[in-house]
Amino acid sequence: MADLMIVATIALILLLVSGLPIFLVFLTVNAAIVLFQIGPSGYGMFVNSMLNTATTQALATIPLFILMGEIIFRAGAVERLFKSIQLIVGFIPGRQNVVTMMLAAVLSALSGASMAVAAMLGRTVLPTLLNQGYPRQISVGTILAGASLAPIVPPSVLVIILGTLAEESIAKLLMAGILPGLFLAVIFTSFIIFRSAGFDQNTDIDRGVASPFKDTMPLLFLIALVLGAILTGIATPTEAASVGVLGSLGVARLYNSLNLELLVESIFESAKLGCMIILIMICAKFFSQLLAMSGIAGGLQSLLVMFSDSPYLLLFVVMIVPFVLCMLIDQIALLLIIVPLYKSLMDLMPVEPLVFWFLLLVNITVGGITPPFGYTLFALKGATNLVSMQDIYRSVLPFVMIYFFFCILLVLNPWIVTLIPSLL
Amino acid sequence: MERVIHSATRTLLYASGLCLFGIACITVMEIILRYAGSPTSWANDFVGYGLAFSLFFAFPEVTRVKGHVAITFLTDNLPNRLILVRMMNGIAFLVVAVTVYISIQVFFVQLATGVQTVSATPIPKYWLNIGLIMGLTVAALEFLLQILRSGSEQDG
Repeated sequence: MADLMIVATIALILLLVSGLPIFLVFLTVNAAIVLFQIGPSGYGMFVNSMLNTATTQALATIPLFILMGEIIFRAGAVERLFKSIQLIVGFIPGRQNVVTMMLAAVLSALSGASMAVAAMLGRTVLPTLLNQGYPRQISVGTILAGASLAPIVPPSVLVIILGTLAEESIAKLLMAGILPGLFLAVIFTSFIIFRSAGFDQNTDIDRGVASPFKDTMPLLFLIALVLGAILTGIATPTEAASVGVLGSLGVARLYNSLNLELLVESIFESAKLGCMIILIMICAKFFSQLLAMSGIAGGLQSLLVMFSDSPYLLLFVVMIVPFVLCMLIDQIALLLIIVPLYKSLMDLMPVEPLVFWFLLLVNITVGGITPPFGYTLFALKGATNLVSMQDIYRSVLPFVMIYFFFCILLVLNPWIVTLIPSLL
Repeated sequence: MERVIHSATRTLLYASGLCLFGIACITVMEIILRYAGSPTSWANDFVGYGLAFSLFFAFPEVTRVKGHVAITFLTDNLPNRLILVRMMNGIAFLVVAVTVYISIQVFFVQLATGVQTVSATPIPKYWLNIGLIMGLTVAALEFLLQILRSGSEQDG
């Protein structure tokens, strides 16, 4: 069985880079194993794994948070936020890039998907930055760094998937992202201010907003409501997401944008996006179960025992694998393959499970913005023709370095991750 | 034929949206009832069932709009990409059709044994399986349409 699963895993990775839809890659490998290896006795297990995954209540959080974000975006929140933050930070050097970073952080909290934030800012904000003479590399880097906060800052789709797979508390994993997310946003903003000093002398502030606080307060209140509900234990992440949906309708009403068309289109789009993401999990679950049964995880543990004398070296080796693979494979697909294997390594790690999974999340995030194949880079390039791939590659490298040092900081100071979850 | 399949896809999408909105409403209602001192025993289970139906029913529409995530950086610049796309749609149709076949086999077993979900509010498992079979079947037909359409695009 272990030999079969090693061959199946290699076939899976080859099929993944062949361009087949990811859900189909898992489904193909699973169906082949059931038909040609297990036989009709495996039919029930195959279908039940799909049905059980599809009825996992925690996964309902994903389409609900997407719905919350969809309603807010369709209500015109992005434009209002951009103008408001411009007014609030009007005196800071490199103002527009700082605005972009803050906007990215808020959008990250609302959408939870880095590719969506990169594409949105690439289409809406990047042309403005370039027209106003901001250096190309700083502007592009700002957008990519800001977008990379999405999987870290709660609520995050990747965290929900990671928590479900790792059987770790989703609420704690979500809360674990608050402090590191804020730290990173502050470090990135400081770096941007340092790099962009002197570039904003000739830019005008768009004063088309009556009161910046009036426009931003409903959104900030909504984010605080959702996170507060989870943090105080009043609601589970799924319940908080549902309250978020209700709150987003209230925000749309305040912006005078609420109508039936907005609601219906938001629901359809969220149903499609939720299906797109969770379908991959539905099809991958059976493969994960076969991996667990095959004993590969135990084999991996025995292989890595040689590092048991130097647990930090082991942690480095274990983290470098997803970092490299994430430049080639989609983040969700990678989590689905790697988390069941890594679960067996917890005893060998020098950090507690919450910190370990959070580090894995950060690594996957950085892989997404690391040249040459980071997915978020392509999302930005796909959204705009104003910059070349070379510009994108050069712009993002300083931020990748910041992330590298930040990971070391997290290992040395795990309280940054555990402080807020410990309050739960 | 194309119109019938797309109508089925659209109808399932409406059902998917209803399920999703239903999940949001049931969950908010459950919070209110819990803090009012009378929580239901079925709300959590229905969130799970609603999610399953929402996902299965949205599958054909995601297929129709070619919304599935794929890793395409190696294949984007290949010559004869149309042949590759047709081949992939062929594989997709075949694999999804095989999964429909397996699901139908399991459906008959579930029907005969009367097996139910393991939850506070159990329902027959074949109810969920019907949703899976419906979603997979219409998605398989959408893949078939894409094969036929890519062929006519090539001819044109």
